[in-house]
Amino acid sequence: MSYINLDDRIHASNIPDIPDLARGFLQLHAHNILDRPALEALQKQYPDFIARMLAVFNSDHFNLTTKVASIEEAIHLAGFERVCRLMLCLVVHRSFSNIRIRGVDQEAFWVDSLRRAVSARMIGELIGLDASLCFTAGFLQDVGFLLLFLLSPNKGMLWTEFRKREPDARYSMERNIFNMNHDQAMELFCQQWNLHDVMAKPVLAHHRCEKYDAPELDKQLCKVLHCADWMAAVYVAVDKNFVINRCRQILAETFEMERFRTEELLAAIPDEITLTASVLGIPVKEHTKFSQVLLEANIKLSEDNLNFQELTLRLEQALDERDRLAAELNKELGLAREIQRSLLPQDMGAGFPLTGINISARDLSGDFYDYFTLPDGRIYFNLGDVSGKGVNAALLMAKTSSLFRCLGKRIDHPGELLAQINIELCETSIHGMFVTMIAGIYDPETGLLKLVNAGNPPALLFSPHGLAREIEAAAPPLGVLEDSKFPEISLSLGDNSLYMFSDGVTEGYTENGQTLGLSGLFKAIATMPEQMTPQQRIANIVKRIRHDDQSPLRDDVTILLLQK
Amino acid sequence: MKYPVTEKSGYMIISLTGEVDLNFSPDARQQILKCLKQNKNLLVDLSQVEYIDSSGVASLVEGFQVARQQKQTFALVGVSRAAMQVLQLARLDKVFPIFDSLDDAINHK
Repeated sequence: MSYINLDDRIHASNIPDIPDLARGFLQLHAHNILDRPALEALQKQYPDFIARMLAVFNSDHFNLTTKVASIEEAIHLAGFERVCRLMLCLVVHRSFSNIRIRGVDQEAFWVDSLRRAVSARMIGELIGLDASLCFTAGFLQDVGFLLLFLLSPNKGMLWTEFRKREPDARYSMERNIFNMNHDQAMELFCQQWNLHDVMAKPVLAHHRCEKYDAPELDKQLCKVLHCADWMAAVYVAVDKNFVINRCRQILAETFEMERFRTEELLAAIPDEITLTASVLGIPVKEHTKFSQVLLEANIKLSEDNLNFQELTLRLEQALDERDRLAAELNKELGLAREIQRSLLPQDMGAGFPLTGINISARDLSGDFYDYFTLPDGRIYFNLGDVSGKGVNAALLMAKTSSLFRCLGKRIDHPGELLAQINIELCETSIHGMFVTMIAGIYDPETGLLKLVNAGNPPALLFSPHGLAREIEAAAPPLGVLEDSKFPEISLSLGDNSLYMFSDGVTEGYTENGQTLGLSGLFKAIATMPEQMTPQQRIANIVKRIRHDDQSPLRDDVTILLLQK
Repeated sequence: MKYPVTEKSGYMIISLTGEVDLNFSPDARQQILKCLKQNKNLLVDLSQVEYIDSSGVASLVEGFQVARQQKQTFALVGVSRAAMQVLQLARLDKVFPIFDSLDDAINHK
């Protein structure tokens, strides 16, 4: 990014020099003395310019009581200040009009300046501030903007972009593009032309009025200029609706201007410009009426309204779509849940040695259990837990339990069965998902039991007197290592009960916020009254980690109980 | 969560920390697989793990399986007590190569 550097600031060689005429005038003004010979000398030196000034004084616009024939008379009738200010407006305009600034439409710029000037004058008249002071300051307040382009000729193509923005946006854009604001550029100009005594301070502060600490009159002028900037923008900025509203707001806040009064002022700008421009000899090509501005603003407003309506409509449509998809997804989940339920075995009622429960923490469970009777009367059973949760766990659960049921009808050694399932799962393993499983085969005739624990929490064998044995995992979970061995243990069930469970049980939270743990589970089982049915026993364990039906579970909970 | 990855003596070392659960295991998985993709031997430091659930273990299992296929080293190092209990319960302590320290892992062979 290139920006105005320090050298430019020091030399600022592109800034037009102050014409001798103006310098002479300002010197006289500074000393506040009517130096007749000096005035006459200037009049002789710049006859055309002085004639132009006198024409302005003699126009209806100035409304002097008698026609004037010399600057001295003008000073006498209108006052040194006013003469000096008029001279300044004309000189600055003429000095810049003579140079070409790349990309800049100077004619448009000076019309904008006139808009600011007449706006400032009108506000000034309303609030009782010197109207000629307001006009001049308004006319010159944004000369710094021209200077920015003068000092950075390569930024000329951005002129239109700048011009169509509202004052605040333009101000911050200046900082980004030029690394300098127009009031800073204006300060360079004031230095070069030695204008510091002539209204420079309020002009330089018109974008920072609220922080401007100065005598009351200067502060008032600063505020007038700020308002004038926005009023002029009504005719130029693209977002007319925004700028008009901002104008109403600023004028109301700053000068307690009523809304209709603000609109009157805005509507008066074009005629004021036509009049003033012809007096000052500034060409005006643009003749935008306020009614036209309002029309554009209304069109913009109705477009915005349409956009808003469309946005609302789209939002409503998106919400409807979301609800529809959610309903669809819920329906699908409901179906999946139903299918998953169907994979769990039926409760076989009293007399059957196995009882189980599966409660899922989410819609779908990654846990499962199953049992089925072989033709010879022995019963196969299993309890498994898939790593992770949700749909992917549920799908792997479905696969594993199907493999178990299908292969279990042909392989009657649980160790061998798990080895087969393990190979299947390893071959199609995805995301490292695995399944912990306890599986066994029980013969109700003999009471003999063969059991395999693959990565599952221990099965607990309870005798009527208490814990008899923990059967810990002797193999890793299914789906991890294809050549894992799954050793079986054999035991006689007798009067004992075998509790199998997923880790959701021991990791569940008890009422006091602690995890139940293995020891908590031991204690729960050991203290149950002897006459409890298997269903009651399971319900009793579940109650320890699920205090009411609504409370969420930390993990899927599955319990399988085997007893004679 | 971005887990720190360092390199030492030709090994990449990824240090899992905190709770490696359903929320964070996808990040662990992704970073483990990314390291293995670079054909480097990988050590997973579990000394700062406070909790690991089955999805976290699954990320380790997948890393282990991928490394085995590609004949890369994959080992666990400095396994914290909490993580070790989970691994032991599932008998996975017999599956993963586990070393007490980085130096032990690097000097092994």
